[in-house]
This record gives sequence, C-alpha cells and structure tokens, in this order.
Amino acid sequence: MESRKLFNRIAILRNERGMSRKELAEAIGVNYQTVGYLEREEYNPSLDLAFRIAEVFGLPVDFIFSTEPMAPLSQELYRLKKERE
Amino acid sequence: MKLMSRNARRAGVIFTFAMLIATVALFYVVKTEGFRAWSAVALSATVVATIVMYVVFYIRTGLWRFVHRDFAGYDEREAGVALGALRFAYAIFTVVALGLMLIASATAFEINVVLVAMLILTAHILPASVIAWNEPDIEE
Repeated sequence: MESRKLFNRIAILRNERGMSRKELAEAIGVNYQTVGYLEREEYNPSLDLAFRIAEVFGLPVDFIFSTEPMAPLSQELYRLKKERE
Repeated sequence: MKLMSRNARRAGVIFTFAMLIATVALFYVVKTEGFRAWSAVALSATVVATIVMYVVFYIRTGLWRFVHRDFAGYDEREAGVALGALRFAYAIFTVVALGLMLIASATAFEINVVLVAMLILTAHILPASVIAWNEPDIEE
C-alpha cells in the first residue's frame, strides 16, 4: 500500500516557538536531519512520532498534520474570527 | 552524516567503484603481461585511491557508520533508510556475484583473490553507497 502524502505545520510551529531543529529533534527523540525531512514533507511520521510532536507543541495532532494542503495560520485565525462573529 | 550535495556524493560513489574496477582490471593486466613500470604505478595509484576514498568518503563523512551502527541508534526514518539500502545492496551484490560466477564458468575468465577481495569490499560499502546515491540534498 502506498502511503499518502501528509502535510504539516511543523516548520511554522517550530519557528513560532523559536526552536532550532536540533532542539525539536531532541524533544521528540529523532536525528535533527529527520526534522528537516518532516518539515519538507518528504517523510511521513509514525503515529507515535506524530503524537510526540503534538505533545511538544501542545496542540492536537490534526492541527499539525493533514492529508490535505493546510491553509496558512493567519487564514485559519481569520476564519475562526468570522465564525465567532 | 556530514552534509554533502547529492551530486558530490554520487561523484564519490562513481569514482570509488571506478577505482575498484580499475584495480581488478590492472591486476589482470599485470598477471597476464607481467609487471611493467606503467602498470605497477597505475595499480598502486588505484589501490591508494580506493583506500583514500574508503577513509575520506565513507568513514569520515559518516556514510559507512550510517549502516553499521547499533539498530537502537536509529530513529524511525533512519531505520527505514538503512534497511532499504541494505535490501537494495544485497540484491545488487547477488546479481553482480552470480553474474561473475556465470561468466567464469562459461568462459576462460578466472576469478582470483584480488577480485574476491574487491567483491568483499564492494559488499561492505554497497549499502552506504546506495544511501549516498539516493538520499536527497540535506539542509542544515
């Protein structure tokens, strides 16, 4: 079975928190080069690794990973704001 | 693994295997035609180049270590990459070794100790070569 491409927000969340790839890699227990592969969406993480990433960022897994291309966070915020109004 | 561009890694793999093949070919030339100055120099040069490439390209860059370390040291992506490289290298080596045996049995081609030694070295560096060949450019 060929796995689907997974889209993610790892790079933007890491930058937002001011973390280096090495720091994130240490926090989730992988080589820092693997973080690069994850950020470039060249590698789909296991469920365990996806949960570890979600735990580091304190966000739900489905906010970080998606099978569909992800909208920019600013657009998501605007959509939420509109929904509240 | 040290950061090298994929093109540089591929060039390293091609050069190393070219030196391995040249070493074997020159040894056969020396064996059939006897030691001459040019063949002795060329054989020495290819042997030295092979050793230098093994140390500089495979050991110092961490390519060799990537497929020869304890399994517990891999993260999940690295484990997948290493296992894929080992599987692919095993397939290539089997085809090459069986092909040489077939040629040797069907023709007057003689398999000697140098060829066997180079085949063993090939088997040793082939998984790392597959990784060097296939891995995309790595960002810092």
